[in-house]
Amino acid sequence: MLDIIIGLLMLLSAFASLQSKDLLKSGVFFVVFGFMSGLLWIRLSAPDIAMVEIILGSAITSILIFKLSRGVRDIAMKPKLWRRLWAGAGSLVLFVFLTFYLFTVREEERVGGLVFEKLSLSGVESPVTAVLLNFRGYDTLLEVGVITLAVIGILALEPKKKSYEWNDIVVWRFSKIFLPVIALFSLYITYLGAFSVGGAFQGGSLLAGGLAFLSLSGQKLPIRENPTLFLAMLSLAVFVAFAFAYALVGHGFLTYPLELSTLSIMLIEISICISTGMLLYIAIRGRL
Amino acid sequence: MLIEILSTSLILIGSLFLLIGSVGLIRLRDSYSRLHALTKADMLGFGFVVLGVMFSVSSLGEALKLVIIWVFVVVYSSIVGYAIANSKKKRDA
Repeated sequence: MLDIIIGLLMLLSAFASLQSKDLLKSGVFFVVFGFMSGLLWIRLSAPDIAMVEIILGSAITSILIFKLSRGVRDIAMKPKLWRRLWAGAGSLVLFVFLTFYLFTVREEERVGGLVFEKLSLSGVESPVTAVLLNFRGYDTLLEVGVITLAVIGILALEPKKKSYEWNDIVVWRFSKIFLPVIALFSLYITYLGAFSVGGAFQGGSLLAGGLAFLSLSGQKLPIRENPTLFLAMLSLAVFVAFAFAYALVGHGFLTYPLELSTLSIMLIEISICISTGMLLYIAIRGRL
Repeated sequence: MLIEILSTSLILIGSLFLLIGSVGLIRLRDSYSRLHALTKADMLGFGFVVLGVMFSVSSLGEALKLVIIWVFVVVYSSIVGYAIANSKKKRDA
């Protein structure tokens, strides 16, 4: 019953977000949509994804949308009718196909059992982290590459600003007090990813939330431009370095030796946490 | 039994405050009065919900976590409320 209500609210907010004329309203409904899908992930007992969905999908994306909406308010987006029908038909076919697949797949063909079977070989206790960093390390490496490239794109497009325009003393003082606490907590969440719910992307997006709050005050981190960029690129460098290092000593690309796997996964996770925070911070703050 | 009734009624009171705050957010006229309705009712409602949940924790650590969450929400919602009001004031001026 609760699931049906949340699902209906999700559909409604998605519809409202697509249909409303005002971009600001669309953004607000998009936030609601992200929050609802986060709730639905909790109901599906996937709190990892729920955390990312609520922080990234509804908090940080909304800041980016609201920043963007100032620049593109005059452009009216009105896709043609046949295009909409085409998209609707495509999604319907996909939905029917996936539903059909979901009900016909056999228990032993599902991947979950395999993951739990091999979990002791991964070096971590949490199945989600094991899949992300060990069994499907390629995917995560490419994801890290994608967000790094996206931020490089933002840096390339944005004109260089001379200085910050305002200084909100109240927000600045409070983020000065609370940012260290948030940074500590995000590292804790990253560390927790090895055992239970948590992980690098969750911790990183939490750090990014704290940094976004800091950038609301109009001030910046008390570190220079180059170290910030270095920290943002850190995870890609660390990930690729680990992958090539193990390939060179003969283990294979991204294949950790069993006794070193916990250490390597933790180091990669911490670097991803720091870099995700920095990348999202740069994306929100823009180039300086 | 008595504890359950107490905890449920505390959570209900909290939800009522949250509901009133949300109604205020939708019904009131301008940003200032909306913020006025939302921030206060939110904080009180959330405090009651935390108090209600506090009865069902198993250890002192969990209770402490709840208190920390409450402190975070109170501080952040007041700061965010301030930031929204300030940006509105700047835009009007």
